[in-house]
Amino acid sequence: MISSIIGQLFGIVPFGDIVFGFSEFSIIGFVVALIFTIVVYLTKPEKQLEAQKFRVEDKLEVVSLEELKIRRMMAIVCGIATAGAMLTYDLFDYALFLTLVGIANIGIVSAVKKDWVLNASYQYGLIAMIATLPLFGSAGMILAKTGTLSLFELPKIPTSLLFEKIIFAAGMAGETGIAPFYASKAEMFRAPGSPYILMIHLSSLLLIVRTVEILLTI
Amino acid sequence: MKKLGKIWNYLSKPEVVPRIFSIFIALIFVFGLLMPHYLNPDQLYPKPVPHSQTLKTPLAPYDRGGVPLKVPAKLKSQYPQYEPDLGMITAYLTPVANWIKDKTYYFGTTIVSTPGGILDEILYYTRGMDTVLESSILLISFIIFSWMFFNKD
Amino acid sequence: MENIIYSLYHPTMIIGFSVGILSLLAIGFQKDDLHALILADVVECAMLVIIAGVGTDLAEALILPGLVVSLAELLAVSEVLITRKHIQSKNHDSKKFKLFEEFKLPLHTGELKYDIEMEVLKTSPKFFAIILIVYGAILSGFTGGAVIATGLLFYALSQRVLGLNISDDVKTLWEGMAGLSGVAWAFWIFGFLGFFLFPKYWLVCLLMSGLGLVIKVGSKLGLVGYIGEVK
Repeated sequence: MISSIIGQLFGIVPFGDIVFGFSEFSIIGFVVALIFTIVVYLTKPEKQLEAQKFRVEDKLEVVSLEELKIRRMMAIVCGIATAGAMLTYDLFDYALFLTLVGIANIGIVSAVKKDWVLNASYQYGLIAMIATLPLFGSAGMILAKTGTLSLFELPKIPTSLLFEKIIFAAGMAGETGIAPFYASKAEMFRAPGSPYILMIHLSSLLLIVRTVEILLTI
Repeated sequence: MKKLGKIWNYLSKPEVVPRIFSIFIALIFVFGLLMPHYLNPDQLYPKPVPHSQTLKTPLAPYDRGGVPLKVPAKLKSQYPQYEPDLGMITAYLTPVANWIKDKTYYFGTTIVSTPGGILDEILYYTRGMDTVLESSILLISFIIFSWMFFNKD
Repeated sequence: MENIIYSLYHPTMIIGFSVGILSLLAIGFQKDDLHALILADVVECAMLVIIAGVGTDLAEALILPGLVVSLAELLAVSEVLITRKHIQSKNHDSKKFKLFEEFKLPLHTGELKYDIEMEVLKTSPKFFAIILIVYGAILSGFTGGAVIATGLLFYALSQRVLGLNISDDVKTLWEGMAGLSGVAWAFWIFGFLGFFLFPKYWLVCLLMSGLGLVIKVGSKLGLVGYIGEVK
């Protein structure tokens, strides 16, 4: 079962109990995340031209240098965290990577000084705080039921983990902004400064795919 | 059909998303109340029976055996083959901890917080990556906090 | 002797789930942004209860990351809320209060009739802060950092209550301490990698990690006490 989804396992990097694995599946995600991180590092942010209501002239939105620096740094942290989340083979460690990506997403948009952007980022921060309960709670319940957190060991244990998996998927849905909970993240995408905003989108997509892989294997 | 459109419009406001999400999670959690929960007895890093060490050893309740710098403590970890020094950190006591140990039976939690001890073994060594991420999360949130604080105007 | 944690696990889960459900429903029906933030912190307590139910050394070690994650998110999200409120109320400026300024003693606001100077008000904050910092330095690691931060916070806040000025150069202090904290973080990372690259020198790595974490956490959280002093 496990080999059919993740493909061939090329090698592992053990850090004690937490093992990082390079499989066909995880290498692709890792490389994609790294390439986009480099792209974000090299490009300059977009300039938005906003049409005004009831006025003739347009308004040019420029990202200032100070803002650019902090947002670029947050985008790079987000990219590295996404790349790390692709490789880790430990459930609790993966939940921590998800949280790190979430908080870096808040950082990417929180430097924009606009009311609606900050509102969306605040609401997303609330969801990220709430989502720690299902994510870490499900990891704790899986540890109680099976006695292990390693994703290599979990498929070997014949225990039904349906409820824990549902909770974990629900937490991931909030953290990455899947269908009914999309509104706050969609508002965050509209903030000016394009390549950094792109990182929010890419990280959620990669994390969704990786979570599905984890939930199918364990 | 009109009602469905109203629901979509309601969902598109960022203010309602935390509410919808939390009610959704609460509904799932109701099933958790009804389910039977049990603990698998085959756990990693098991604890001894509560109060079995009190007033018997000065390191209580964190005495896991071993002699500092000589004999490692016996631990049950996930992958012992990747951990050549397993148990050495658990057995280690700093000079300060050694001094406290000889004086009193009641300072086990202080001794386990000094370098060495079972918690440092798990937090720094066998599951050190968790602590790396945890301290990075604190670092990132502190950067966000201080940047927003100093650039308010 | 039967281990009591097996019979306690089910009641613990019931308590954790009840706390979770009640606080989540409270978020669903709140009326204020700030209430939602505070209730989200209660939600994270439910998470800690569920992890703690396992009752092994591993669970005890897993609680620490969970606690820190909730603390960090609270720090960042609350600052986002404050900045948002600040932008909303930019036009009509109201009087701003520093943290704990409302507890200022009447002695220093001039409302008291007689001039009373109590020595203990000046010396006891220093005394407590020094005890906490020394104890934190002995503990080391994350716990020690939290204890040191408590000492620094207590000192800064009590100085403010007494109506004394801390310093004008807080921004320099802030940046210096933040830099020190970053260096300590790097120390801790090197200590962690050293465990796997040079397994022979595990004792050096252990001391390096413990020292790095205590400086990092202590300086970082202690700085929060100086909020509001910056011009």
